[in-house]
Amino acid sequence: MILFLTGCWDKIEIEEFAFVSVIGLDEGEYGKLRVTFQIANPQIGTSTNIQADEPSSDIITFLSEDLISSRDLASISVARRLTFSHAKAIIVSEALAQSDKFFPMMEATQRERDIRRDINLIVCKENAAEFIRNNHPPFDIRASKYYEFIASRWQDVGFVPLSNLHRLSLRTLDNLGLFLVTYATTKPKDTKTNFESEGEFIAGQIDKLDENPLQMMGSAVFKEGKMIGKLTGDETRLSLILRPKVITNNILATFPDPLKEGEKISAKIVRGKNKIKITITDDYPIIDVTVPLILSISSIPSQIDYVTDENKQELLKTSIQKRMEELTMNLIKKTQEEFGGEPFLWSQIARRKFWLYEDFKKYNWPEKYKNAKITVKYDIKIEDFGKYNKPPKL
Amino acid sequence: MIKKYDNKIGFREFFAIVFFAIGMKLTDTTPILLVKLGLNASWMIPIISGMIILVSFLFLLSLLKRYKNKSLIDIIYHLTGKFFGFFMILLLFLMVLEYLVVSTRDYADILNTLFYLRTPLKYLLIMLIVAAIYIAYKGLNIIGSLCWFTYPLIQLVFVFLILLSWEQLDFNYLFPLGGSGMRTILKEGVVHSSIVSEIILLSIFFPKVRSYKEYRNANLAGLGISVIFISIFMICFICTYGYLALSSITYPYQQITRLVSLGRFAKNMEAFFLGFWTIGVSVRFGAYFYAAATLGGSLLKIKNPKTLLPYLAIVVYILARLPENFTEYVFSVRKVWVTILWGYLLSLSPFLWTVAKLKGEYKT
Repeated sequence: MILFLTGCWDKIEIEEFAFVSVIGLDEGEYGKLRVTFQIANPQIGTSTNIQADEPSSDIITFLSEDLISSRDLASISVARRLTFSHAKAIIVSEALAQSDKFFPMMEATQRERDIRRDINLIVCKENAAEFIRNNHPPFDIRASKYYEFIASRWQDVGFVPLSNLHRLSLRTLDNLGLFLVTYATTKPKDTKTNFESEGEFIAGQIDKLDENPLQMMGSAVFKEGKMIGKLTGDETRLSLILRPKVITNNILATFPDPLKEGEKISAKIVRGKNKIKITITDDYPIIDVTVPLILSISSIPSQIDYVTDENKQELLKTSIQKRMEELTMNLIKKTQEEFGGEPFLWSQIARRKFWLYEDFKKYNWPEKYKNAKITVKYDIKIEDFGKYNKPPKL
Repeated sequence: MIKKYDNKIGFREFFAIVFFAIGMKLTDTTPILLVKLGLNASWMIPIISGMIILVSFLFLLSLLKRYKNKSLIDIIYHLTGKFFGFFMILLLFLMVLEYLVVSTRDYADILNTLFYLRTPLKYLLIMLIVAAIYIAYKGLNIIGSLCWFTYPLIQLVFVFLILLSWEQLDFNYLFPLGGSGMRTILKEGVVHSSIVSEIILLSIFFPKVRSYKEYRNANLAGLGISVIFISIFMICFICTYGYLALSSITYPYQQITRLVSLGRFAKNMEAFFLGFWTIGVSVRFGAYFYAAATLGGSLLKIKNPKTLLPYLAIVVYILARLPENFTEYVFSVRKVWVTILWGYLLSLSPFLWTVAKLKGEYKT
């Protein structure tokens, strides 16, 4: 039986395949879709010598009815059979993400076998076609590897959320909260040079000098399959910290120095498991969250001695605590008033309070969340102060 | 001491046969059938079904103990006479036949939809049936040994898959624990007890097993492990996809093999799991064909059931090609069959037991 698995009708040489690494989707005229494929050149990035001076990938854009039929339409100029089995990212323009068409189209394409659920999803400010063409990282030439790496940077840094098709379907079908999608752009606009903290941007606002114009920062907020707003990098990071499951760990952050105005202290944050207590009442849920953070101070530019002086340490702890709580309450207010939902996955904890599934559905968590009474407490522990102890006195 | 070769199968082989008959059901659309009704608490349904059928099985055990060397077929004929016995066996035979037809179509569809898109369906069906007939032709001893040989392989693959998918699981999806309510869950557990009904069907092979004790232990162990695995996998499915997304997926097991990855390099793992799955499937169908042939043979009074195999193959092939697409089968034929048959299966052995008691067979 196994012998037959090689298949006669389905056999195809690897050479006959064109591996699409990135797919871009834009709104086209007359309700059609403008699809962009970045087809990787398999010769680039291998150790064998390149025969000819070929570009690293071929980018092709055209109008089509939907994503799946566009695969066959690509044969107008691409000689090989397209396959999405190694596609690593789908890039959607902001305009398309804000339309009603977006989610039904994404759900429908999942019926196709080739679309895998772990393809990353990125929303970009401009057209996806432009974005894909503008993005040329200088040494990560294989596009699929690049997108795979950069979208997984979220796990270390937290400025962008983890968004892939699997989670898109999950969170949208559940309809219990907001879904955060990576936000990126290659066109800088409104660059901010006066900023309070390192994450206070949305993609495009960072003033940088680089061959690669790509900026991936912040997130697009989706509700019920449609994009309704944006969050800055800091706010995205906070949303990830407030979630029940510890995934984003090991964040580097800065806090204002309590004793010297204008100076910042940077620290590495390691999360513990959040304690989320939810009490359900008829009108609104009462949510109490305790977030344990373990800090490891990495630099004290103000040279104030926080290390050996116990009082100053306490002062530092309380100031960090107050600042985090202030930022969090601002974010929560924003989600309650502006977005009408929560991206913190607290609905997963609320599920435990119900016995029957229909009771939980009837409670209508997103609606009730808008009036919820929320308190967040941070439990800060400073674990170590890096290599030096007392800052030297000049 | 050299073991006497008595041409019978023992605990290990029969246990593996039971596991393949019941446990492999988690790899097709059976979980979806359950999820539609039990919502997110449907992982409890297989356990309930297992317990219900245990009751019926205990009656059967008592009967088999009484009649030392008779199989289920002989017992039915002995207790209910030629006429009624014929009908009861016919019903059993039709059950196995229906299950064969629907399952071969199901598995051929899985291969066609997910892996071999261009291969025409009839060739996939032919291959599956030919492989199964080849195995069935060898007889019960070979089937038993083959099952025992491949059982650890399949077991390891299942455990491996669960471990790989661990990080995708969100156990919060199991809540609200009640799902659709305890009453609905219990009702569905009873009505769907036919998913574990093979344990009753396989008693037609009782004389071939070395001893009553081995038969009893093999069945109980097989039933227990299969039910536990089906429940564990349903928990996996529910925790990865959540109830809502799960109800629109037709092949949850295959989808999970697509979602998992071993580190950063082995990303598309489904080919690996496909290999082992095919082995399990062919062995399983071999056992089913042999069971169907035995039942058919007793109906037609044929001494050697193997002669019936080619004809069975052709019948199954024709019937499996009949519907246009698979949903016709699952949502009409199988659903109707499953909901009618659970009564018959559950009551078969208690009924026989009562007849035996009334006839005074238990008075030594």
